[in-house]
Amino acid sequence: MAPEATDIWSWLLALLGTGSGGAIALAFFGWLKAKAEKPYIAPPTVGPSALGQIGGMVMGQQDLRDLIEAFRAMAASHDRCTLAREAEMEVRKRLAKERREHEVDMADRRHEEWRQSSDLLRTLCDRLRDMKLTT
Amino acid sequence: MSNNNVGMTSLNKTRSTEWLLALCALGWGWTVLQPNALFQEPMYRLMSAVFREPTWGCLAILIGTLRCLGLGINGLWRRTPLIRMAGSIASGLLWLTIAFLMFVSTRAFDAPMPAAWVYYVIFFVFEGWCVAAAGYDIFKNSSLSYRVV
Repeated sequence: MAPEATDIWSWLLALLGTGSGGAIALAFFGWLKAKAEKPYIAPPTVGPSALGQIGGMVMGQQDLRDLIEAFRAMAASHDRCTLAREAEMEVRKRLAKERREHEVDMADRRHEEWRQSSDLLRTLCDRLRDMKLTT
Repeated sequence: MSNNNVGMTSLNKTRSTEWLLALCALGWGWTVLQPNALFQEPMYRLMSAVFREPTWGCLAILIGTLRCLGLGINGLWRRTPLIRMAGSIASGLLWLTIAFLMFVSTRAFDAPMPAAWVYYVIFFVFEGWCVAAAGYDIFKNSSLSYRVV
């Protein structure tokens, strides 16, 4: 190989090594991105009709105390929405976990059954051979 | 308030880009394998110092074909993000090598830079995107975990 080709090879290998390292880092980035994603549930919204009701609640109040009470009721309603949303996410996570565990259990059971039947067959073969040897 | 990653899922929508880049590799290899003295041009001279012209063509066609196979399998009957990632890395390194050798060659032999040179750099960047997308799918498919079935 010509000296300039050897020189080019060393440069190329350095470049390709760096490129491969960058590629692995990028794949890891994508992996982390997927790991960080959460199931999408629409954020709670009051909607136009409920907004009208809230307007009525607020406008119908005569003094500041009633107004504060109305706002407090609205805040509590929003909190309930948020709580319901978080509970739903938690339930979904648990369901997914239980399903995964169930799948693993089923696979283990299948594997165990297969192992037992293969043991049985082996024992049967051994017995048959023993019978042949003794007769 | 968090946007729940709405609008952030374009990361994994690179399947058409991968097909495009795989076909570009096939087309490049086919062009190089044509019976003309392409590598006599100054911009290809360093590439011919590394491998002979048919070797470059066969390498590109090999990478393009394997990638097309991986993508076909991935979309038709089984998801294979690991194969897609390997194909993207191989193809990206091919574009990087071509871009680097052409750049150095034009500088060394004082030849004009071809207008299409920048395409190789762009291809390389988009291969990086495809690799990240494959990493995303690797997690979503649990491709790295061993499951007894």
